[in-house]
Amino acid sequence: MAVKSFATLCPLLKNDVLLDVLHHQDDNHVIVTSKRSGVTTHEVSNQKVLSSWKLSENKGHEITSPAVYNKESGTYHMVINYKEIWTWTDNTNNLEKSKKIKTSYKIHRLFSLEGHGTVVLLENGAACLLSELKDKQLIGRITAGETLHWWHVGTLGQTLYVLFVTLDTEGKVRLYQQWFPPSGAVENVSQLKRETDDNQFVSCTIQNYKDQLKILSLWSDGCLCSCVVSPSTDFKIELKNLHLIPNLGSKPFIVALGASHIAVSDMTNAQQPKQDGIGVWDSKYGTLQEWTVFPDPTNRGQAIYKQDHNLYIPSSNALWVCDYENKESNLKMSLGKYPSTDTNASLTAVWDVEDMINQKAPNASCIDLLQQLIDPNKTSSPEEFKDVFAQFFKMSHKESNRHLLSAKNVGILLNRIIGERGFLEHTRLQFKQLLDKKTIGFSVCPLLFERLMERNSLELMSFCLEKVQNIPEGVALQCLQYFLRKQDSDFKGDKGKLKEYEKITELAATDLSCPFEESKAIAINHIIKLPFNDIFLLESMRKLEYSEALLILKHMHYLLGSLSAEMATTQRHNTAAPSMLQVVQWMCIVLDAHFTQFVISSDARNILADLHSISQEQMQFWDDLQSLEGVLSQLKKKSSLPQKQTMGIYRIEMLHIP
Amino acid sequence: MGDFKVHHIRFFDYQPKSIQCLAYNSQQDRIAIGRSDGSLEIWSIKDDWFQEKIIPGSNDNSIEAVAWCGNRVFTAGIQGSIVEYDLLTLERKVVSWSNNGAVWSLESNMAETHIAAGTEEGCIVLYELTEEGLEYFKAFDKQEGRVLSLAWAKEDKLIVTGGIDNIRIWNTTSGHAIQRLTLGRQEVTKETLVWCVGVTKDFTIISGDSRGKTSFWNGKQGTLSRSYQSHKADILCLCMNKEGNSVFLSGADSNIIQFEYITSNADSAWRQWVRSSVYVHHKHDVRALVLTSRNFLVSGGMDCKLVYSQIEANKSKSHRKIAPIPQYSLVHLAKDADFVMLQYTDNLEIWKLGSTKAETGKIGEALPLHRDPMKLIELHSKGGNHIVCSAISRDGEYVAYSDTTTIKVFKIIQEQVTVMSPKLTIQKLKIGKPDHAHRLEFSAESDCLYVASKSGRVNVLNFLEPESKETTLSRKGDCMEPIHLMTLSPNGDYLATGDHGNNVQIFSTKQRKHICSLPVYSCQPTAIAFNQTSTELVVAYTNQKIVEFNIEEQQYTKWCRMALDSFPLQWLRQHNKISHVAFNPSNPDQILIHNEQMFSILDKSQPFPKQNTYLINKDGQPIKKDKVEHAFHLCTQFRYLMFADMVGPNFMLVVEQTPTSIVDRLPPALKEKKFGT
Repeated sequence: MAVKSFATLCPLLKNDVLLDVLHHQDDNHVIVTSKRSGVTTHEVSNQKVLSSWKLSENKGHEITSPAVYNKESGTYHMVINYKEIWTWTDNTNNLEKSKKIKTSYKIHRLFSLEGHGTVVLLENGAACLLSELKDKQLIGRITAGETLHWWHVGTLGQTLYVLFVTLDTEGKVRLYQQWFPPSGAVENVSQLKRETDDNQFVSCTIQNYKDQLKILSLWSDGCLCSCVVSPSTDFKIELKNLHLIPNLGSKPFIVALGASHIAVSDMTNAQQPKQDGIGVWDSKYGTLQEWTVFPDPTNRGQAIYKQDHNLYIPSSNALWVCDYENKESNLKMSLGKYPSTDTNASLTAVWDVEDMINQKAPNASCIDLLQQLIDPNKTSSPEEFKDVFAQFFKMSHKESNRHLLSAKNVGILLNRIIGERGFLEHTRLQFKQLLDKKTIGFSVCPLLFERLMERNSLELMSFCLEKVQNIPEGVALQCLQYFLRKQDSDFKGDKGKLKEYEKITELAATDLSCPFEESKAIAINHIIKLPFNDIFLLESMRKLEYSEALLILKHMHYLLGSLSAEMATTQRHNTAAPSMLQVVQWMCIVLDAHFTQFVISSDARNILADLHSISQEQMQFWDDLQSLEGVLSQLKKKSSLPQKQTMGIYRIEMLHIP
Repeated sequence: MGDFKVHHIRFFDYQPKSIQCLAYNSQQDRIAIGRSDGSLEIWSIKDDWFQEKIIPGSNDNSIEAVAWCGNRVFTAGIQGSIVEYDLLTLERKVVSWSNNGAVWSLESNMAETHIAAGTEEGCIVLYELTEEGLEYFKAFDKQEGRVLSLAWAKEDKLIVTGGIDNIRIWNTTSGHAIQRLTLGRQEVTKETLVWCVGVTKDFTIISGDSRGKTSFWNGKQGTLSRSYQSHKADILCLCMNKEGNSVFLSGADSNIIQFEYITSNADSAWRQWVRSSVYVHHKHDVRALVLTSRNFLVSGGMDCKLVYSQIEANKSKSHRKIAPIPQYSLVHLAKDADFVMLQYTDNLEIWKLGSTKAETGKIGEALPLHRDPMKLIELHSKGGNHIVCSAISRDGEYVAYSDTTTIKVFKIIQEQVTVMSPKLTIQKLKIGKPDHAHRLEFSAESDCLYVASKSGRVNVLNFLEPESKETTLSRKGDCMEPIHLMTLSPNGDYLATGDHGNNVQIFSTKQRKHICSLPVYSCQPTAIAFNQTSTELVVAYTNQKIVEFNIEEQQYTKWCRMALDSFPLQWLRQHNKISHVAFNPSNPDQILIHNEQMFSILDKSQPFPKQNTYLINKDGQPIKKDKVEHAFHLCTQFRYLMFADMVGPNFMLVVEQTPTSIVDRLPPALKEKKFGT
């Protein structure tokens, strides 16, 4: 929202009272009614007066409701002395010759609505169409002592509505709603009340955004409150505190400029406290979007008007028209625009209901499918399960449904697949699809692996070890134990991996032999490659039986002996063999966990001695490498690379700043 | 931007002090940090982790524990006293003695009416909070061995303490122990020390001990429900969340390990404590952990760094290490004399800068030195008192510092300046015994000293005529917060101050009165400086915005209005606070600003880049501008940058303290053993 320019539309006489600026035939024309100057029509773009009608003086006539223009009939309506409605057209030269209708009711205001004709609002709060004024018995609900303070007539869809706010002598604020849907009129009164009674109601405006009417009210403490009105919400009014508008004068006035901006008059700026200005306030993010000094001192307490795309501000001697640009409110625009430099003002961005509505809700049918999948009675056979799963899985790719594949739901589904009799054989694909999503929770792991071990499914276990992240150390060791107890022939390795593993072992020209067959070795290596915490792994390692620990030690021995230095030092992922560091760490833990048994048993003694010699060899190798360092530095010195100056503790240097 | 000659200084040997304890105040969103030199720091999380106040320590005051009670802060240490601090005058307010030897732990109760202290002699001493300070309330039965840790439980009816080989539960009304939980020993001769205890709402006691074990006890029955060997060495600290279902522990083994109270099985309601996450933020001992109300896990220890990380579920577990460098300047410059003054904990060093005759040279290379830098003076404070602030006059003739008791002013007489080793004498001026100050600044003519006093006023100390009447510049408004920024305009006509109440005020030094204030901003100022012509004041705030205020027009300048809304988002997102602002004498449009990671030159004559422009890449290097020149010119090659200023046209001074020089001097971290446990 940006204020573009100011211009004077017409001069105002001294002691004149401007009644309203209203819509004329199109966006570029307005009708201005004031008590002394009468009715004038203007072209806004060039500030020209098109026509003017004045009341004859000394006849006791007084305009009490500003002139409205009915586009369909091309007529003007105006109320004189509360009880007379004058109607005239563009051709009428003398206003006294216009058509006059007298009523017994005291009329407050006339409104012109496209498609509905002219609406009359009476002082007692009743409203009707002008055409029905004579036929109807109109009883208003306003009680004595209440005065109308703000009013608005409009349409929401096909429904005509009349809203007005009254103030009574005790300072109570009431909002009257009258809705005229085709099915019959409804009306309601509700009090606008804030938590504290200390503040007085100051001004009010209405925003229409996405078929929702929002009434914004300003209170004497500068607080901007909002409430949503609609015919369907049982007329329940909830006044919500939005923001504190700072630096307000004694009589500010607000008017809505669009779905998320309001103009605020009688507002000063912290930097220019003496100058009067107009502020544009973002009612969505609670920031002052813009503040402009008003070119002329305004009439404090005088209303400001918004008609079509212009803002009209009366000053002491002229009516100003202010052109503004309607921009959408977004967070980017509001960044850095704090409401004020006043630290006491609370800075709260209220996220509107609209934002919440815009958020995508999960598809109801998707939830239904999930419920079917979870409930064993609804999908009792694997075939049914597969069908429903296929539909569900397809829908779950949508962003709005993605959260349905949460750890909890995946856990339940996995539990069904492996838990129920005869399911796993038919639903392997579904099982893998679920695991592929990688949303499985840490807490599901123990149960998942336990079930898989019961089911004796080596292939799926390897798959799980690959896909599930953050496997607890205890569970990993259980798997290891399970693998160790299985026969070599039970393992069927992945062909690609087998080839890779063969390559590695071929490279290693040693006389050591692996205690396991290749496919089993790959499965065990996979466990070794899992991330772990040494403390927790050590705890679980102690639970292994001695014979199993010995097997692992043998395997480690083989790996350590067979891995060449080149293989050990390069960082590799997704290969069939673990890295040197992983092997060393695991071996430390195996040794730590079963140290005493290894020392006293004769089987392990040879391996330990051999390990000792391997580690000696390795150390020798690294030592030799270190001795090469001198040669390397010699080589570096000889090379012609520019030498970097040492810094020391002080120097004066040249620095280039780009 | 251009080429600059730079005095690149690495002889400032600042050594940060390790963090001993932390305490969080949820009402103010502030953290109190006790350091090993006995100083207390208050950090404001609201202002994006701004090091707000520093109350200097003293040689006789150690801090072992710190506790908030409402908005009051207390510390205790091995000298056996509990000290309350005045956060406005930044000094120790009231001292209460434990009468039972050193105090190892300090904790206020939930109602914030009492404070319990665990002492060396095994006695728990309760104090009642009164308006004047702490009043001795009660001492519990004496136990054998010191009380190392304590926690209030069961709506302040019970206190749980950790000591040597045991945990005790005490009744606060009777003062008797009602339960004793015994811990095992790892080695028969080695005592098990319970360094930290915590209590949940369901009365589960959580303890961390010197064996590296985390134990969960049933407080009602006094039985051990679960114990984990979670660490390889002593667990020194723990903190838990408000709900009491998540606890973090760390210590000499610097891994921070989280335990959570969760159901182990999806179908059952049976819950148990399980280890969940490991955070590796430190390489040295972690001494203290706290959890803030916005779920920031804050840790600190031997490596002097404060580290915080967001631990909310489903959020990235990124963390930020705050450099252990003070967020205000410890370096002062006497531009006319080419002197640089370095402020250490209890001494000042004055160096004369070196010089070169070379006009230009290759970028990045050293220029041949015509004269080496020289250390002229090393001035130690009396009795080793900690220095709060210091100042040097522009001509280098006067030096002043304030320690925790009073202000001292010295005159430096240079006898032989031109020779290689100049002769200097230093003469102490008699100025009476004024109260200690928060900030000092010499006038332009070096005839008086502006003192930001502990009363919140600015006193004018006429040190040449000590008999003359002292005048005072009173601040406007009723803000009592201490002044932490003070600067004098180049022509000496104006003095500006910034305080923790977000106020920046400008005084006329001739009329000796307040002339205007800047609009109160929502953030605290971190650095202020006048431009060369003394007409504009530049202020940097904690949210990284920089404003320029015209004193004569008493409003923000046009450039400032444009700039305020158009700072690049990456600039606003950075967390390091701007600690100094300076101007290039050869180009009034160039503003030099720096924080501990980089300095930047902001050229007012150049347009601002688009808000989504990136200034620095992921490696922390400035991104090269390919086509369009913009106002931000960054340099990240110095780290940590203690100070940067202009000493002449296109001639800078940069004081750097490298991170490695700090790390190298830390004690060794826990050695990870690989074989044979």
